[in-house]
Amino acid sequence: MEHTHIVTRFDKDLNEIETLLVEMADKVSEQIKQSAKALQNGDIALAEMVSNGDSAINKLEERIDKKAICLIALRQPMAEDLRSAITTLKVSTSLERMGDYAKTLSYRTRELDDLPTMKPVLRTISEMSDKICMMLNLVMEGYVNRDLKKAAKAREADQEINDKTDALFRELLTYMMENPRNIEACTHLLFISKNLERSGDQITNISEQVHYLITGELLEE
Amino acid sequence: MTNMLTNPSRLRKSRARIETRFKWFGRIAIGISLTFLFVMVGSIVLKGKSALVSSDVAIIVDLNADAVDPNDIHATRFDALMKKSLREMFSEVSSRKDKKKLYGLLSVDMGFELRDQILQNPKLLGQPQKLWFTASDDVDLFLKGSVDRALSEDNRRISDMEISWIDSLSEVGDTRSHFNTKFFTNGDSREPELAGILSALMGSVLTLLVCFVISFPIAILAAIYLEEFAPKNKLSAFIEVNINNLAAVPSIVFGLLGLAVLLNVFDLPRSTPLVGGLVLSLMTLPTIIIAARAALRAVPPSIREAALGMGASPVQATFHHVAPLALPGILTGTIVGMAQALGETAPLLMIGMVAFIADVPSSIVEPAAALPVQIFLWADASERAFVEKTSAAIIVLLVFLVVMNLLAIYLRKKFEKRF
Amino acid sequence: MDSLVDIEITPQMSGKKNTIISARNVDVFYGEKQALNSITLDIPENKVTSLIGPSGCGKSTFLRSINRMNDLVDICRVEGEIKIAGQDIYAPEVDVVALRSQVGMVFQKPNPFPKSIYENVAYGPKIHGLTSGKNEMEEVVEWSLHKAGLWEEVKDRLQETGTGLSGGQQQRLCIARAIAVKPKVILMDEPCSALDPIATAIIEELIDELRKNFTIIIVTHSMQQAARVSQRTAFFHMGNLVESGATKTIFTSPNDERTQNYITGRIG
Repeated sequence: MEHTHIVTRFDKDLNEIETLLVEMADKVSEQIKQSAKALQNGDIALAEMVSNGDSAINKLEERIDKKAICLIALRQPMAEDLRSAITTLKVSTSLERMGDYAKTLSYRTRELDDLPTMKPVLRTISEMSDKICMMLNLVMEGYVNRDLKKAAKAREADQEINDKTDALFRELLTYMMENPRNIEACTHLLFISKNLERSGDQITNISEQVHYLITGELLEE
Repeated sequence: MTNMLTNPSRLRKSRARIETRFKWFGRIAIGISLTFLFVMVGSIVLKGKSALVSSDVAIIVDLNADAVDPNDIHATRFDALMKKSLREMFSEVSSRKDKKKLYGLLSVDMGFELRDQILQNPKLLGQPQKLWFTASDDVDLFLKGSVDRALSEDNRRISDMEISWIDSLSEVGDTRSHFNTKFFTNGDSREPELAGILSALMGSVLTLLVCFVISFPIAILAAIYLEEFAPKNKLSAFIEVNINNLAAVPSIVFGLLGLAVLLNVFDLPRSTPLVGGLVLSLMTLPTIIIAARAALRAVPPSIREAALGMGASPVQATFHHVAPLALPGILTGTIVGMAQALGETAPLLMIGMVAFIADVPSSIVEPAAALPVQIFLWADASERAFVEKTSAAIIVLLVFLVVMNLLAIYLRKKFEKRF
Repeated sequence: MDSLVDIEITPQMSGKKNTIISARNVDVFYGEKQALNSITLDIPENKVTSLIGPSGCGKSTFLRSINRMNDLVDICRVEGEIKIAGQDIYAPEVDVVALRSQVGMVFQKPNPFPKSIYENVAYGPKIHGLTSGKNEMEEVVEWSLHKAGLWEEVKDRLQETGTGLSGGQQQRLCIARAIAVKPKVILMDEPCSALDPIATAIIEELIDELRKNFTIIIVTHSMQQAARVSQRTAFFHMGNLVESGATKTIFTSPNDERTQNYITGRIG
């Protein structure tokens, strides 16, 4: 956007919110990475850290929402500025939810501590987390640069996540049928994979919001 | 849809009829006014234009050393010399009555004219010269064609004998007509051919000057005070009513006031532009005050507020901002007032400016006449030649008025500022 | 003679807001009719305070009490106390002319004098004797026009009349004229109501710049403008001060129901 607002403080306010949102996305991405790593390595201390780190994300969401509401009340944004403010509110919610999923992952990591591990499952889960982090970065790049293509690409990657979740579901079923002692661990891992799938859905939501921001049209489900 | 936009035709027709009728009323009204204007001005111009022409007669005057001593020109009896010259030209004239008529061909000032010509050009001395002299008023009229030859002698101002003299002179080219500069350079005179407008013009100018100098500052300051500073209470309302009424008082009342107070109580010199100006200023004061107040009121209050909001004092706000913006209106009002004062006769009659003033006044305490008074006097005079002079004087007055109004328009345009 | 021109205001470096104008129990009457009831309000320094409220609520009356423009109305009577920098401006020894050089005003309809742009800006410093010499005056004029964001547009035509400018430019000229005398406070009475949106935005940006050096009080019947431009807002209703506080709070969650109704456009 080459044209700036005549009232320069308006631009400042908009940029501030955008910056905070990117900051929040970075934190969430980091949380997901770390929680996956903690699960992979059975690192309880790391899981603890991730759990505690969630409150910072919640505080950021609060701050961003307050700023967005003030922007709407005080600046009466129109057109793209309005869509930007609305997008901010919705994306921050999605990000906060993703943060929550990372937190539950780390909680379940602690529960899995003394339970048998299924290495291939953990590996798959780790791959899925990486994919999700990559998708999150992609969609945030699409947001910052107002890039439709990047946002769309993030949406496409969700299919892969869903497929992997289905595959994981079947794999865990076989483990459970094989040995009833695996059931507890597999149930946790089932919930974890479900959360990862939901994270992927959140990214799809974010990408749809970005599409709305850039074009003004709401995508059909 | 179409019903909303089209009225039934009878309504439309009656509306159109009313519009057209009104337009015609307007045109007819304008037409009548213009007709009156043209008739009035036209008749005056027709009557007066001949006053711009003056006739001269050429007479052979023997200026040899016997008649005029070159070393003592002023000792010469010019009048007698002129009469002698006339006698020599028309040697057939014998009776005293006829000789009187002969001398009456030229203006009464003929001796002075001879002297002036000699003084201007002493080289003329020593031999007979053919010199031009102003014709008398009746001859002047005759030469301009205003005397009807066909009338019987009793009904004419000029006798057959005089006509024959004039014709004989005309035949040899000894009569001529030229632009009447004397009209503009001489003062009043008993003789119509010598009568000029200058003294009355100067009188009017000086009187107006006095009137302006007195009434303009007083009126402006009074208007500014009343409009901007005086508290709006019963007293100021009372003053406003009185000023409006003063503007409607008949001018002769001011003349009586001038007579009673200025001349009798203060013993000021009568018939002077000083007294005339004072009286006229009393008359124009209310006019200017009313116009100035209207102009001040027309200045939008936002200008005052802006000035006061800047921390200007009320006096600064008024004189730096409000008054300059009101100036076009004030000037127009002033010049309208002055133009009215120019044409007022009654008050001037009362204070004595009706006297016969021949000299051109050079100060405000010398006796003077005024243009309207001069017109009044000439209109009353018995000589027929004064008729054209009266009309000419009216033209001069009208021109003066037009010039003043043009000045008003020019000044207004110059000072008008958009706000 | 006590004059506000001599007041020195010491800014507090702590960043806490310093009150520059304090009104206590101010009542204003037009003849028998009471226009303002017991207004008590603090105006912070170097911030923009907006006064909002429906027509006839008294916000303009209050504004004009601060620079005593109400004195011009014969039947207007002001009671109570208004202090600027600790000085009661209605004290008998106060010189109103000096007061108005410290408290400038910009009006609803732009009203530049029908003189040249230069003379418009120079008028205030001239009558208050603030400059000595032509060079100093030229500097003041240039500084004022710069600060008002008008210099680039008029620097080559300072001798043209002020009334030849567009509406937005005229209003900026009026602002330049007001700030040329370096007042402490600038009062603005609906300064943008006669302007189009772009000119309005330019002036709102200007107000944001100006508050670094001046305290600004703006009366506006557009609460959206109040929301955009001010840091403190006071809501007036039928001559009463209903609520005042941070603009952010007033427009997101006001305390008083009347404020809420006015802001949301509910007829109460």
